Amino acid sequence: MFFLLIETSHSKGSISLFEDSVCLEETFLEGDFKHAELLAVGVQGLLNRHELDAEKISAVGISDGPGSYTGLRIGASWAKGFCLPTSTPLIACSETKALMAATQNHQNVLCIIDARRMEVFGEWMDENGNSNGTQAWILDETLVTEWQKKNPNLAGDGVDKLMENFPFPWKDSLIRYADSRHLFHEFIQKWESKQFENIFSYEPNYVKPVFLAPSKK
Amino acid sequence: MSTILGIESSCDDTSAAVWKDGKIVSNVVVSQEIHQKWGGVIPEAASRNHLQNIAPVVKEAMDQAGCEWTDLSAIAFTKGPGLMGPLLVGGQFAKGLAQSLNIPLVGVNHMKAHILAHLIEDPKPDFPFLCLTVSGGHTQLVWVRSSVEMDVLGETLDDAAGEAFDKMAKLIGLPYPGGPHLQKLAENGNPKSFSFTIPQTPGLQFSFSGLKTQVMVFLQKQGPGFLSENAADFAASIQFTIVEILMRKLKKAMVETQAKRIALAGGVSANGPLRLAFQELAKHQHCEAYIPAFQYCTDNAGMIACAGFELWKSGIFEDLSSSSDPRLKF
Repeated sequence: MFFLLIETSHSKGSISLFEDSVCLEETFLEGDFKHAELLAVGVQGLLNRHELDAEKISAVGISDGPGSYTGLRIGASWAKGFCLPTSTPLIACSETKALMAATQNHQNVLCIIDARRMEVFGEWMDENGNSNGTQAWILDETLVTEWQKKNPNLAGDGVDKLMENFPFPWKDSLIRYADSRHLFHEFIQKWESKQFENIFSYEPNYVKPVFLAPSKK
Repeated sequence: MSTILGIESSCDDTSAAVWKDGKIVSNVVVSQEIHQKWGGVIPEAASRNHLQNIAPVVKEAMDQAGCEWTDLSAIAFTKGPGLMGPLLVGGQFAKGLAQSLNIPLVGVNHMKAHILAHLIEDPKPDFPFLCLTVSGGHTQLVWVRSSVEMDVLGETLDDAAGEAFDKMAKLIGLPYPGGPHLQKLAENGNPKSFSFTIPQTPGLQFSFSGLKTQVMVFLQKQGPGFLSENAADFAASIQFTIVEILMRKLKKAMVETQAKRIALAGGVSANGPLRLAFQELAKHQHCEAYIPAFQYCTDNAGMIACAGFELWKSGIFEDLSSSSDPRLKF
């Protein structure tokens, strides 16, 4: 079986083609945030090089976020279009889980994704491997002091902002971004347990709703 | 024999349509009403809604058309102009679909599609014709030589006519989108009650921002009870001025081009007094007048599928590497 995995949640986009559990090829979307131009071309290149057509793909995996809203929508929109005619299963994979897979560590890991200003989106997997899921955090003294007490392994592109604003001997994994192949860890679990997304209603994990005050004009 | 699926997502309407053997056989539009409470389209909210709506809308259009996926000859989508986030959703979905089905992709200019909506149903204008396109985002006079050869003769220097309707409706306190509300309010008003200046823009260019400022300043000088007593007359006067601006430029373009056929396109062409003035002008100038059915005037995928067919038969396809373009040139 062939699987297509797509990572578009951050500036370093990538696509992987797996045959069962073997990554046949991973290709990167060169140039920051060029996903809209490069995603379809990248997929076509992969399919052509491995002499596959769309019907040979058993499932498509995408990054579910958190991450760039536009990037997530590019991946999700393309995947919905690709999967719809052939009823190909769509599997959404958590970006923080992918980061954990990249660090090869699933205990006491804090994955934080830059969400502008002093905000980060992230997930903390504690010493026992338990998590409260993805959350939106504001980096302030109270929160960071709590984190310092536990001194977790850090991953994600929010780490630089944390270390710059709150100097501390942090345990930095040096992993800033997950690649598409890092989605496979969660992807294959969901594939085996048939946890597929509904193409007609799926939306990424934006973490936060659109919130605006009603117009007063 | 050809079957084209059209996808439109340039603003706040998610739409899909199927063009089959020379006619539109389905045209599904889902409008996002969530923007009403904010008084305008919020791009992030619109983008999220497009992603939620797009697969069900496309499937519904295919089902209504009685089409199988394998019947499709090409996928046409709105490449631009419009809002970047919404355009990306439609564009990427179209690419995925075209790749999955291994069929050509056709990128359509939204403004040209408004004009080509005249080719959907009879009576259709012969080429060449002069088209006045009036929508929430654009106001253009276009000389249409063929389905793929068009020249912009004039356009707005600032706000679009539809935008002017909406903004001035907002000044009167009407809900979004204000254009239809303003027309309804104006039904019982006297269009000659208040006089506003017609802008002296060069050539065939339009301008509406001065009128908006004039209306705003006028209102600021009035007493608190002014609108409760004069709302209908005031709305009728504003509407009369906007229509007058449009008709004066259209008439000038008709003289310059010696057009025998004129066409009205875009969402604002649903405005009753504008349609009436357009038809009277055509009659006075001994021209044929064309206005598409209402469902093909507002943003809809029927016009995208129709325009897509014209490009497809001319062999004009979109590369997979192309991207949506919010400022796509005409």
